[in-house]
Amino acid sequence: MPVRPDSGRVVARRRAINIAFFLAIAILVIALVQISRTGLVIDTSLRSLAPEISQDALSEALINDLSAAASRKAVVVLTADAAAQVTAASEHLRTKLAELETADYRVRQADPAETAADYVRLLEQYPYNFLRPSLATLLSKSGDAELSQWVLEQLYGSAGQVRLTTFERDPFGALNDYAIYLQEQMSGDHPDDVQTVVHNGASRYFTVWQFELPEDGLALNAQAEWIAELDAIRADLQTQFTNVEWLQSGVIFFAADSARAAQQNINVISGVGIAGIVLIMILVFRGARPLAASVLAIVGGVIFAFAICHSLWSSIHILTLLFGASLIGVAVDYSLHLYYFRFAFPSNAAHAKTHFYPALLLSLLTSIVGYSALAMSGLETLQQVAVFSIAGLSFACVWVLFSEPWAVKTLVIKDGLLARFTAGCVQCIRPFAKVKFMIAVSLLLWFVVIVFVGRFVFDDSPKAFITPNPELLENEQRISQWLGEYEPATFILVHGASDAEVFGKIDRLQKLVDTSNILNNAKKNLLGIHTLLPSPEEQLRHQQLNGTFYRNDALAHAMTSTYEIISAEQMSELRGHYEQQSGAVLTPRELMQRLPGLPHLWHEEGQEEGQQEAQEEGETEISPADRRIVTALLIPKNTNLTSLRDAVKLLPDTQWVSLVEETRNGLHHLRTTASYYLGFALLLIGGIFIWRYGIHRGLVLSLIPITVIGAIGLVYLITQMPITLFHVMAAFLVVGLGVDYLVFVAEMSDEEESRQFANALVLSAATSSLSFGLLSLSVLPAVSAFGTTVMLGIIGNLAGAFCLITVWQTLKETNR
Amino acid sequence: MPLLALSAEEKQDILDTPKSCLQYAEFRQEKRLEGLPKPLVSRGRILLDCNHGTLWHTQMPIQETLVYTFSNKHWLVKADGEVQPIKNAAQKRIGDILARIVRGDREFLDKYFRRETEANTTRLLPTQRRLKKYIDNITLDETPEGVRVTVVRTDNQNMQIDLSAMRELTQLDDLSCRALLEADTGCAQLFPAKD
Repeated sequence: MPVRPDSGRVVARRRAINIAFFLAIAILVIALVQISRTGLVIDTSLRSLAPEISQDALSEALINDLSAAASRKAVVVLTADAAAQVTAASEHLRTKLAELETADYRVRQADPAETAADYVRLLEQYPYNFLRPSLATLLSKSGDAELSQWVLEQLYGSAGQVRLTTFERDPFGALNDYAIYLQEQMSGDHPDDVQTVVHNGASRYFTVWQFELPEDGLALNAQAEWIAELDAIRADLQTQFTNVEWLQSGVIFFAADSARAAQQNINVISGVGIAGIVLIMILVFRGARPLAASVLAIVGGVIFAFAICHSLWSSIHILTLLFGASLIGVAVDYSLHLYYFRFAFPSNAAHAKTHFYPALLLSLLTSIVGYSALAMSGLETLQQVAVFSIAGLSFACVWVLFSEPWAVKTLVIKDGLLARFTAGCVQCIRPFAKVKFMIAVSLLLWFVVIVFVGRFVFDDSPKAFITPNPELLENEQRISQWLGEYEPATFILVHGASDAEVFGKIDRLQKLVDTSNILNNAKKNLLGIHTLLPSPEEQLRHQQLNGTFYRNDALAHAMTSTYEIISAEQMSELRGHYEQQSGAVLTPRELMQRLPGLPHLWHEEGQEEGQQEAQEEGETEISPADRRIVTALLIPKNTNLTSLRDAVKLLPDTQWVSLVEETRNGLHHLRTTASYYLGFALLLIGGIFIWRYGIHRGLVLSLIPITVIGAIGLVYLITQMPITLFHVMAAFLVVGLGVDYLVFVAEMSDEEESRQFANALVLSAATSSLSFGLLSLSVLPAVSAFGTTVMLGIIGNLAGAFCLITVWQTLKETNR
Repeated sequence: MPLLALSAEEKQDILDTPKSCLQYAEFRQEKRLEGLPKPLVSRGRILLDCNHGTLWHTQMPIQETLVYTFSNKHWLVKADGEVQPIKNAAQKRIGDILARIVRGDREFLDKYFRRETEANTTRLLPTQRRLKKYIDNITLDETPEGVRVTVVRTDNQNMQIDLSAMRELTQLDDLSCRALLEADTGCAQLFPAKD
């Protein structure tokens, strides 16, 4: 039996393919094991879509903490025209929630009392540092009789009915009084209180129900369970109380709504995409093997990509899955090219051709380059999409090569109609497919685009990601107006090097706000560390004032003799303990460490080092130079933000942070940077073309993606469609996919059967169009922008590839 | 079913017998604090109007009146007439529960407590997590003078209220309220003047 001269190379290639495939399977198994450990987590958080904000690491950590805390809160409001209806519905809801709590439901009311109780235990370690403002005034101004009366009221009266502190630590009830005051400050709206508001000219009554989401609240499964439970409670309540309206507010509702929309999109895209591809494969290849191998390439690619991404990030974003669904259209391309190649050049032919393999690898490489550009966006979700796509395509490519001997065994291609269509298209384009004409068109396109560049509409607002559900938005706005809660995405940051410095700056800002009537919110003031903890100076002043209780002889006499509450010895012990505690101060750092349930308003760094050095040097105070502190102040709703912002500007080291503006600036920066990268990518690809195909052919090849990008730009200019970061990112993929087509044309057109590869290109474009075309119909603006751009790009690329086939033929004939 | 109206002959669940809507009683309260060897004792009078609410008027050693209305509005009226709304949720809840016990509001109590009855004692055991954190049980005992309410708290800072001189009233309004309390604090809040 004669041995073919290239049989050694064939065996080596087959071995390499087998190794690559089994390596991929091994990686897949490891990734799946990893998933089995972590569990399946599908992230629906909208925050992870936004770019990193332009803050220093300390401030960013603080803002991330605040955002995370805000996204774990949900509020339900029961409202009706009559107070009695609200009271009855609230009683029903209270009972229902208590029943469900014992049945291990996920939906649980927030309980600030728990954190408040922990706080009281901490306060007891500094029992003399805290006084309610009214008591501080009383202690500094009042005489013996008022003081004794106050103490008796705490012990015998209703003031002491709720006793949060122990008598040993707090004999006069001053700390208990502060603890109750603090509990009131921290509790917020209580569902027992029926509140009233004027809405559309009529009185409305309402109760407020705060819910705390579980830690994994924004993971798809947990979110779905939580929402389902709440919906069941809502349905039950609305059946029984038809006049009571249920309003809800919270990030989870928007996240769940977007996730629902994304899931519907995924179902449609994957369902219609696969059905379309199966139909095309059956019509053209008419065999079970090519169909099965193609479908397995898609399914295997998606599973592989999913497993890799989930292992790397320990979760996968719903948007990644949505973009990933479009992978179906690209992954099937490799099978198409292979079948056309093997149909033209069977592997058992006397002179088997192998030029397909480098073309396939080059094609994969260019797609990888295209998707890698997404990773440069700086958005973690797009980076995940990039990894998902690269992993999926790589696996699909390896699978196609691995399954080749089996898949092409009885290969038949029935594409007469397609061939006629392709030939017709090429024939139509032939008169225009001249290099000079193509250059003229490209120059004209770019001339118009550059001249009218000022007429482009850009949109860098966060709305580029999602369009909020109008009903949810209306609920959110009403609740926000009624409750006067805090702005969720605008903060004031105060920087400093010592506790005293930071508290001093907050005090100055607070005074400025108090005198200028900026807040417009009767219920709430700026919420900051100063709300949760008095400044060190204030604590020491309270210590001094507390001394009035321990040094007042008339009070001591009342306690020991008149009312015989304690003995003289006990009184003496209490005085001794008070003296011992002199100078002790509860710091914000200790407060944050000991009470993780409090809002994380205070971040600092360098203290430990500072402490260490200070200790080594025998110092008791930490050098301010060693410490960096940043603290956030939350702004009540209905505040005049412009005036407050102006006030903030007047103060040193005080900074205004608006996450919406930060996101807008971030998206603007990413979009403009991405545009420069796109130009750079086109230059790079041009360089690769020139290196591989020579200056003349290289320039002709480079002309096509440049023209396609210019044409897409012109479409957006004419239609005045607002261009977002996602349009620009999609342009990278257009370049990647376009280059993919060009590489196949360039590599295959040396063969006589090159026309057949044009059929493969049409099929490839059809399958890709199916996926990305469906993406363009998505209700999510980011996804729609992506799909529309890629769809336009595919049409442009296909037209470009047809031109190139003709130009290539002409060039070949000229060379001959 | 006001608890205040129960007589010593009744041997069943104290909350079971329906009585008059208007009630008067005197109370003696013992409050225990962790670390304090002996209880703090106060005395006063209670007025109940099952349509309006409850007045707890402490007469000694201090003078003040707590007003718990059934429309969920609560006030503290000090001896000098200063009226302070009660804002603290826990304080409101405890006050509300005591007012409902005095009123004998079974529907309310059955929602939040499981009842155990033994001889002349009825024990209320909280069923909800939030209440369980603070209250271990509330015991209602018949005494020769009337009824004893003992609130056993999880932090052992227990409270015992002895109700005595209990009697039904035929009429209760702002004027009679002032006469019964021998003070005019709180009556205006429970019986606001009609416009």
